[in-house]
Amino acid sequence: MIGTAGLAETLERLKGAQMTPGICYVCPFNCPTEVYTRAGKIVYIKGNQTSPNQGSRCIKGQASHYLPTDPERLQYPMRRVAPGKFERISWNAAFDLIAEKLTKIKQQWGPESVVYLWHIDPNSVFAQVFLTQCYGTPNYYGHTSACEQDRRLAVLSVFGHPFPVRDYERSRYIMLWGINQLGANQNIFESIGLNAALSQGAKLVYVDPAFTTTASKAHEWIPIQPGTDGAMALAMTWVIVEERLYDEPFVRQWCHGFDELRAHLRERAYTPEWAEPICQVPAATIHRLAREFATTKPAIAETFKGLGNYANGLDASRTVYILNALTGNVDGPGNLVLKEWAPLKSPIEIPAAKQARIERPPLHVAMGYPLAPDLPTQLLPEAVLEGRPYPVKAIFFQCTNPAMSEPNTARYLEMLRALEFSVAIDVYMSETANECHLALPEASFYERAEVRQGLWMGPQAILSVPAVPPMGEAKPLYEIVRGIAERMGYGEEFRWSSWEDWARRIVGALPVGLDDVKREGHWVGPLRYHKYRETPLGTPTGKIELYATGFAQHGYNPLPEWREPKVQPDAAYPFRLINTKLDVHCNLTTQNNPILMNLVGENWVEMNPRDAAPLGIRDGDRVELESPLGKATIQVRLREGMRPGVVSVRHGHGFGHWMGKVPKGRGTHINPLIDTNVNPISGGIGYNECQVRIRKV
Amino acid sequence: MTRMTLFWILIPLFIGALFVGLYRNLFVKLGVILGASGRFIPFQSLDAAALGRAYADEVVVQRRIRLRGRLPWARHMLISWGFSVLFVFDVLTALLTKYLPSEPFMAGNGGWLFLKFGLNLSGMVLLVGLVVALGRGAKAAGTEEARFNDMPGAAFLLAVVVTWFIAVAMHFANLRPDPSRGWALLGHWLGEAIRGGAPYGAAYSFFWISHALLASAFLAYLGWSRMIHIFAAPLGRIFYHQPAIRDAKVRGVMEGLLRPRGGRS
Amino acid sequence: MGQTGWIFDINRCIGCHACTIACATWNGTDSVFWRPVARIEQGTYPDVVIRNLSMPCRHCADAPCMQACPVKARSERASDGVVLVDQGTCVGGTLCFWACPFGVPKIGPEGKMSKCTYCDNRPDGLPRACEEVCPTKAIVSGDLEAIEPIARQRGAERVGGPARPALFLVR
Repeated sequence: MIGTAGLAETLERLKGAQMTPGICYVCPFNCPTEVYTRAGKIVYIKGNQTSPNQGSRCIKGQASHYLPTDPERLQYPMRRVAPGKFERISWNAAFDLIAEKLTKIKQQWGPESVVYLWHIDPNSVFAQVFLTQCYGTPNYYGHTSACEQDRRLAVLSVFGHPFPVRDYERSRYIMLWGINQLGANQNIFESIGLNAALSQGAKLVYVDPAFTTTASKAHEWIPIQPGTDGAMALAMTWVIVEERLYDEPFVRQWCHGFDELRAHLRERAYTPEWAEPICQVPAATIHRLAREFATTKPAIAETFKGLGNYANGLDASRTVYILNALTGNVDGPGNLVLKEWAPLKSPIEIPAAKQARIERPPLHVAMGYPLAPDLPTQLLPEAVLEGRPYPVKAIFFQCTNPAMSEPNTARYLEMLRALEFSVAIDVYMSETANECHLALPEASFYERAEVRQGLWMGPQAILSVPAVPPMGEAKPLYEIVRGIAERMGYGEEFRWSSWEDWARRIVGALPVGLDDVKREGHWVGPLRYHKYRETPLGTPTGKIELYATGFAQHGYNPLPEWREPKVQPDAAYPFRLINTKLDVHCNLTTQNNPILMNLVGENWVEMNPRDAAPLGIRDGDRVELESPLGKATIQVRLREGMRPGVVSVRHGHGFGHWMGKVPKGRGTHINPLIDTNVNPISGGIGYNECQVRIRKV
Repeated sequence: MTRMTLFWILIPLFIGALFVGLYRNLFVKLGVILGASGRFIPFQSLDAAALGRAYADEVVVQRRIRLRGRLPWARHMLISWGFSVLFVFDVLTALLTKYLPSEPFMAGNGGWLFLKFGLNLSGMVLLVGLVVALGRGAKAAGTEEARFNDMPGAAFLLAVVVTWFIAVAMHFANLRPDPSRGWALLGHWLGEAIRGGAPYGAAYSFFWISHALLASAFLAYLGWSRMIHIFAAPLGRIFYHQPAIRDAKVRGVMEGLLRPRGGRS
Repeated sequence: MGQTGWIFDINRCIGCHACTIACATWNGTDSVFWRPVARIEQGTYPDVVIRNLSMPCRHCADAPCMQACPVKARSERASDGVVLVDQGTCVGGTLCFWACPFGVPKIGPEGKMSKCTYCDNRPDGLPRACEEVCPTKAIVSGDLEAIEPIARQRGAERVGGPARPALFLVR
């Protein structure tokens, strides 16, 4: 029975509360939770005690109990009657309208002109099945290009796996590149593991121009020149290859392309001495770190947005993963573990006879990004406004708010306003929803059921039971899709009398039944290492690819090379603007939460005092950031833990919401300053490709 | 001994008790604070304007109570302002009638109208506040709301006010009627209401002495009960509203705790 | 049970504030944070350190807040030394805040002082709300004698001072 022994009883006695298992959806790491409710109200929440996060939560999840009570949530289907003006309509009217529009658009433009963008909600699988198998559009996409497009493609090309998970706890040497594992990029069970590793004497090296929480726990902070991690990683690779520090038997047996890689490194002379002036890291340090990393096992080298936020992030990320591969640190204890998925099935089966035929290639392929793991969303406006590569007429925005989160905001708003038909499905009337024809209230993660893959290293299924009734007329996504599907001839396939019906189908292949999963809140299978010894990897050669054969097939360089970031500071705009998250805020659900906004109610830009002094800027002043694209005013905080020449906006993409009473007027939205700069192979968004000048206001 | 002699003996005695109470329950404690935390408090960064604003906010307007609810705020405003203004008029009356001919005042006609008006009006405000507060307090007994109530203090003060009004009424009833006495509001109205039972001799004495005792005892009570909040809360809170000082105090200690044992700081 | 208190490990704390909100949720205090977390950055580039300190009531053995209260609203529970505020007596004078060496007591919007009650509505065997949620297990609660071996093992020292706070700190 989950729940701390005694806590459940205490809560029952104190507050008459009952516990149901839940899943937190503030951030994409989906911690399993325990939700205590009484009379339709939540009285307490905490992490699921028996799950890998051992009862812990982060602050965002812990404060999320506000969400089911927030009166400013979207509660009814709303149809736009004039810009910014909405009228309430019934669900029937909403479903009818969607069915009518989808039918018309299919006839006129083809089903592929409908795009569906989702973010976190796993019930999106219902939308996926409906749109791709029933309606016939291949364009069902997520948010990866804003999040980890480069990382995803890098691990796919090197390991053939989309999702390595970090087994920090058993690691002895951990090198983190641009990933604030203990701060804003936190995944609770990984943080627990990292902390355990540190307690046991593992060494942590942290590469980042900013001194983050993770840096504060690291043995070494490498304040690298932003956007140059690729050069340093290539130089480390060179050392490992030239000094024969790689795991030779492992490389010979499990890796493809070593000879090509070695020749390439030599030909380009990617030496530490070459890298030093580029990254501003002493060559001796690069030598030493390479030797330490290669000879301390087990080890992990990992990266995330800190590299992906530059247009050169793909090759930089690939090189970091190649470091793991060369040293035999793959899928073993204390390594990046190639996550094994739980054997879950689809909740909906569409018979072959009723399956739609998809006529055109997916957008990302047609756009010229065949290897992109997800839609390069920065190129979506072209499809809507100019019909390139083919026209996009309708977009569904589910749990995603690109009007806030995408750079080049002006262009995105232009796109939103040019759509033939747009539907937002969300918990708040977001800035994106405000531009849509229809805004549908989705039930929050306390108000709906879910069964999905957990993100632990081994097979894990997690489950959420609805804890409280949906607010107003909000519906879980599966009910919304059902409403649309019924009107479009698929009512038979989208039929259930309760959520347990489809949930039972999902967990059908597990060794336990739905009731067991409902009781525990999750199911965990055995953790297996070195799976590549039994099953070939998902790469074209079946091996770990140091030489990416898939890249070669598409005419890209199969070996990682060094390229400068696209945007460089210059005399007119002398600072690089990077943007990072706050560990207190995430997506749409936190900025209307008065508890969290009381803690951090405004974002700011961080600057080194050395840069501020000549400009006459003092801590707490308001400054104007100006890029070639736009300008914004924001408060400044001076800190020594910032590389000079670099300024960092905390919680860059998406602070300064202009909808909702709590966040209105607070904070600064800096995305309008950032122009479109994507990686040419992955389409990942270069959020840090931004140069600014600063003056006090 | 005359009543006035008794009055002038009681007052210093009980005010003395008040000061002893203030000393033990407030000044000594301020000393403890300055001793323990004084070195962390940067008095030089005192923001006088903010002090004034905080005083207006917490003491004059009592916004904190209004945020809790309009009715509790109204009750507390009536009592606190009624009492404060009444106290000022009391002191004024005592001084003026001691050093200037008191006959016009005591005659209950024509003279010193503004004193009569002030005393009675503030007394009435206070009376209404206390009655409503005690009524509401009785209803709220045993609930969460009860933690905001001071039933003993309110009851005590009510006794002080009621004995005064009865004494004044009896005093006026003993005098010839005079329309100008209308400025004495409730005192006058009560007086007219009980005129039929005049003259009040022993009864008047009883209420006079009761009031004198209760009033002076209440002054002492201010220093030894929850009523001390009228001194402590404004003082504490106006400083609490100095963010620079508050933060500096907290940081001063914290930095000490965060310094590592040996190694870089 | 003797004096109860805490171990807090500054090295482990990542300043995530989960404890702050868990406490606020368990105790229903909304935005009055009984367990705020302070973050201090020191040093000069590139030799920088950040340390985080989560700050509940230390339930001092000789609590200055008790001595400073003008209406005697504070008491120390004999069974375990937990310092409590009587919400009926408190008048929001804030003297306890000024006296507390750690600035722990907070004034609430309703004008009463409040602070960590050591989750006094949880039975003894259960972890405190903050402790339970902390992802790095930086917080340990319990009888000081019982947790002293853990404190020693982690290299924690009892915080000094005349107030005698019930806190072992790993620096």
